[in-house]
Amino acid sequence: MIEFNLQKKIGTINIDVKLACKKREALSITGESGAGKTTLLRLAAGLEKPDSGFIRINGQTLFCSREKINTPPHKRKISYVFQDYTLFPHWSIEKNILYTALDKDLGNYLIDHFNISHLRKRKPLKASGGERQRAALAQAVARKPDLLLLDEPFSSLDSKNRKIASEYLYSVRDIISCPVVLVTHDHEEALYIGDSFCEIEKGGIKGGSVISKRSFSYAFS
Amino acid sequence: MLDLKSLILTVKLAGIVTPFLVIAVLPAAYLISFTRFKGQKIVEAALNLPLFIPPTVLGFFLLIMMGPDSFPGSVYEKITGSRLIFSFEGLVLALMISNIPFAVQPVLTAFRKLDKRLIEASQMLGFNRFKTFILVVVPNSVSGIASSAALVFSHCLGEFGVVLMVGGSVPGETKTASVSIFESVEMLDYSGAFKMSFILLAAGFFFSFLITGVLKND
Repeated sequence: MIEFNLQKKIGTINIDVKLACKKREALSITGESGAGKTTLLRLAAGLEKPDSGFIRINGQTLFCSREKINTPPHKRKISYVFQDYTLFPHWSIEKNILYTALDKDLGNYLIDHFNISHLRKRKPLKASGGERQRAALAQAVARKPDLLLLDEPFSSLDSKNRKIASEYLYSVRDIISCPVVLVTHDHEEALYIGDSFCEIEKGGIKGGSVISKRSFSYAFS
Repeated sequence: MLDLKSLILTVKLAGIVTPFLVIAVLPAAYLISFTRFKGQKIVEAALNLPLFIPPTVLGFFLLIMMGPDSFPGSVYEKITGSRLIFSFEGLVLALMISNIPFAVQPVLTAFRKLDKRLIEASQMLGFNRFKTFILVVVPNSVSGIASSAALVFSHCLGEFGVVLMVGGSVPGETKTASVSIFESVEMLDYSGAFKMSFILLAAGFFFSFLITGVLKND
């Protein structure tokens, strides 16, 4: 389970978010551009330091301003799929996925399952955008992280490839035993992947708390 | 007459200085590019200093610093039994110091051009700073590192002021191609000076072409 309560002032936006997400659950975060969605993920990952608050994963404190704990990003065991550029351009797709995979068999399974086995020896830049993001997902999942953060992972893809990638992600939900936090501006995608939902507005959660699938589906129908 | 001995010595000198210096500046360039520390600008300015002072001035200071009365010079003499100045080893050290800016600048440019998201992706994969440096930063900066090596090598081939001050002109030990050209001209051996100069000119053009024509397009 991940719990975070984070505050950070960036320019005119005051990020102030309190959220929790259980193991095997996916939390979809939506919101307008500039609302603070990506910043929230970066704060959770340790790529940016919050002004105050805490982050706990499975009871272990990764950040706590009061206790002056700030675990560096490389020690957090968090997988982060960025909008693009998660894969190293100088490594083959296979090496990108298997080098950091905690479970090599799972890595190989994901390569086959995500239909990228024909790209094993190819460099990421020689693959299409959709294939690259599937490889990035496989890399993130094969690490068996304590938390999986997805920052608009399919936003650079066309609608057809976005749907395919979402379906691939959905198909491995059983394999992912950690909490998943997905940031997207696509409500359909949020609904498809998420179990619970929230909308970020001006750095805070709109309405103050997360909502259920039914309420979210009703709100955006 | 072509002074083959000096030419071979010069290539040997450049061949030793280049890999040692380029490898030595990589961590320094990494720290300057990707971290922030107190006095960073001063360190960067110090690394660039040899660019802003005459080679003879630099050579003079190195001569004093490496002389038998200096601390490094006396320690070296105690350990090896021979003097650091007017020796091949002393020349290697002097050229490593005088070539620091030529080694650092292309590497710094390459590191600063690197997409910062790659570093973040590396951190998120659990790589610490050292692993990120070895596995991500260096392989993605190959053309900058190669430019640095080409620049240092070609500068070593033609270095004169520092070489003359620190090494003098000991045949087979410190008499490099450029010192040989200078002596040939002094002795009015224009034919020998021309042959040596032409070889250095061709080498210079080769490295210039390598840096501007090949490595920049990489």
